[in-house]
Amino acid sequence: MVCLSQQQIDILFPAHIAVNRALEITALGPSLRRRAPWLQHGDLLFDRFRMATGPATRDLAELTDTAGAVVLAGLDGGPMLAGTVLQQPGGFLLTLNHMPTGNEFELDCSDFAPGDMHLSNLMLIRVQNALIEESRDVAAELAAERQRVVDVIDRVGRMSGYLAHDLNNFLSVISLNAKRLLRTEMRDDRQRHCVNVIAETVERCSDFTQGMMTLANQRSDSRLPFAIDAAIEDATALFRSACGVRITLQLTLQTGNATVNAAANGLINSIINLLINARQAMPSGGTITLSTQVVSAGTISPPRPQSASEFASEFVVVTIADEGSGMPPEVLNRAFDLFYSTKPEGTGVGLASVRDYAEQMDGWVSLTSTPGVGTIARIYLPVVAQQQRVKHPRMSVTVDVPPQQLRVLVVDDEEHALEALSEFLEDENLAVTTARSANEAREHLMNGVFDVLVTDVIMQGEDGIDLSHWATSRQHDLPVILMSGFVPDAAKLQAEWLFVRKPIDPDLLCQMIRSAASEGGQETGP
Amino acid sequence: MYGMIHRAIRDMVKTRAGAAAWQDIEAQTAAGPAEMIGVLVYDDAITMKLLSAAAQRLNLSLSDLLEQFGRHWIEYTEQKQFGRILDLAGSDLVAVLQNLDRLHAAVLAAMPNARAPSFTVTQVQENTLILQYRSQRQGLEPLIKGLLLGLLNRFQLYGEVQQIQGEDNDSGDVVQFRISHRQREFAQ
Repeated sequence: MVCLSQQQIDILFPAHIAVNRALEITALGPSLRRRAPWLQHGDLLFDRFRMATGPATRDLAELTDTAGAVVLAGLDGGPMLAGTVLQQPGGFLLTLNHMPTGNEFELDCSDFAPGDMHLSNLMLIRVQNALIEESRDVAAELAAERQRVVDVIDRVGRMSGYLAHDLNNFLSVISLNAKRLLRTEMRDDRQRHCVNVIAETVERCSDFTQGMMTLANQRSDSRLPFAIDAAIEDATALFRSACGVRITLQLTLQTGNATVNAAANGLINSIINLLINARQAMPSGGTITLSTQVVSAGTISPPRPQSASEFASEFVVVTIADEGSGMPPEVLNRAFDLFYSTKPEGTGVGLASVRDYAEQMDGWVSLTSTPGVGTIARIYLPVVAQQQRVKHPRMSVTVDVPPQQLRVLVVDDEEHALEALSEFLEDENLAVTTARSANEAREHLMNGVFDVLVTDVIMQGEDGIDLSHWATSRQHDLPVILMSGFVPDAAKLQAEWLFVRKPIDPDLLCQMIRSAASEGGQETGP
Repeated sequence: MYGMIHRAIRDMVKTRAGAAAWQDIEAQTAAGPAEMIGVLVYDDAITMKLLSAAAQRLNLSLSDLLEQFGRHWIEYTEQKQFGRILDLAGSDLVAVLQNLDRLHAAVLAAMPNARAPSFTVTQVQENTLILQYRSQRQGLEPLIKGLLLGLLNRFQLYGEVQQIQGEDNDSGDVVQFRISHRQREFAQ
């Protein structure tokens, strides 16, 4: 026989109810006194509760000492209680505890006995609800952050495109006029050298606008097969310029004739970005190593990511290694995040554009870094199999066509570019008609016959694309060459149209004009 | 510590010094949205870095920042579903303090990688009590003091929290706080 004090009963069974043999309430546990003040001594038990489960009896004597025998549900929204029935002198003690159902009045720890599992479960449910609320908040924040970044990227992209377009227009004027000068007789070698420097600098500047176009997702550079080592060798002067005078650039090129199908200028830009980062990590100078090699896909560790080409059995690895300060893990983990930079003047764009380029070329880029030792960046690009190494037909410029007096309509709203370009083309024995607007071009097309239409894309008023659609609707076999520093939406173009990026290489344009005219059967007699 | 703490730090900095101040802290500590996921448990070093940066930004000593953060934590959780957990812990100061370990046990069940301190209430008298605090972490006593002050405020109590060390305890691993409190009197 166990004797419990009233205090002990209050602690062990906070919701207990004592009744006499007439089932009138004679005592209530502290929880019920607090939570259910409508329960009064003298109330009949079954006027306030009903049996929720168990035997359908109100004879408590039958339920005495049977474990879990009693589950009482309060009437009119009262509590749900469960426990056993004990006999005591003069009546019964219902040793009850709360059974939370989720829709009752507020309970707290004081309403439960120590060790009551219902309390632990209730606590756990509330913790999980709180964590779910937190997860919802985090998801909303991340979605908003993502949208903000997308908006910024979009704005930056568009601005980059606009800036690149305008810059390319100006570069085109400089380039064309520099080439005009080079064609003239210059007795002074220094003058010729200066003009050459102008022309080369325009080309370099054009490479940077290519980077801006890439960032703007404006793919102004075609994917073509090319030999990696040869392309890097050709750009060595650029790379050394990017490294500066305090840095020694060591080249170790070991891919032989390994060919990748990629945008060559994008690769050069990516390498320049990595070289600049390496240089900034070595303010006191040092050595940067630029190396290339071919690796088998099966030997790469860690293995290629899912975004990379799954068909390539070999990859070219372009490695840039520096001796700089390196990056701690928390910085390395975020190195490719757009707009993330640890440098006060940093834009946080360079590494993101390198990653984007590599992924667009079905490759990837990796970074490893050791603080105090240096950083190694690796660009992986799939090697093109031998049988895939063919020239893109639309860029084929090796056309054995004798010079003909082709009639070319050149349309550009930039006066100086138009003047320089037309002069160049006329020197190449082309019959050039110029127009400074789409309207002017329409008049020429309605009143004359042309073999090729060469038009700028972005012009005031009607743009070159609309003009080209109009022109080809009148003359279906009219070849069209679009000029721009801004790649138009491919959906607006016709598949057979050609595209040449600004700044214009007039020699390339000449070849494209002859090639387009030849394919279109537009050659005229001598 | 779990990410909920980081979010509360962020809330405190933004409330007191603006969004730009928090952006500065993010840049300084290399913390970003990935460190603000409430349900994840992070290395204590990240949390301490955020607290130190917040102290610097708010021109507070780390000790003062911890105490003020403790108070802020109570206010912050009251606005969220975590406030419902505090409701469950009890309707008065003593009940809540006595049930803190049960509350933390539920947190640990939901987030097994978390580490939680332990609290034991001793010597309860009419207007004072002694609270024993045990933790695997060191140096967070000011934060605990702030939490206790926050709880006093939650229950509309005036009071003081005093850290006492080593009384009635030989182990030295236990930190004790004396909490004295009285009900606020509101003007009629």
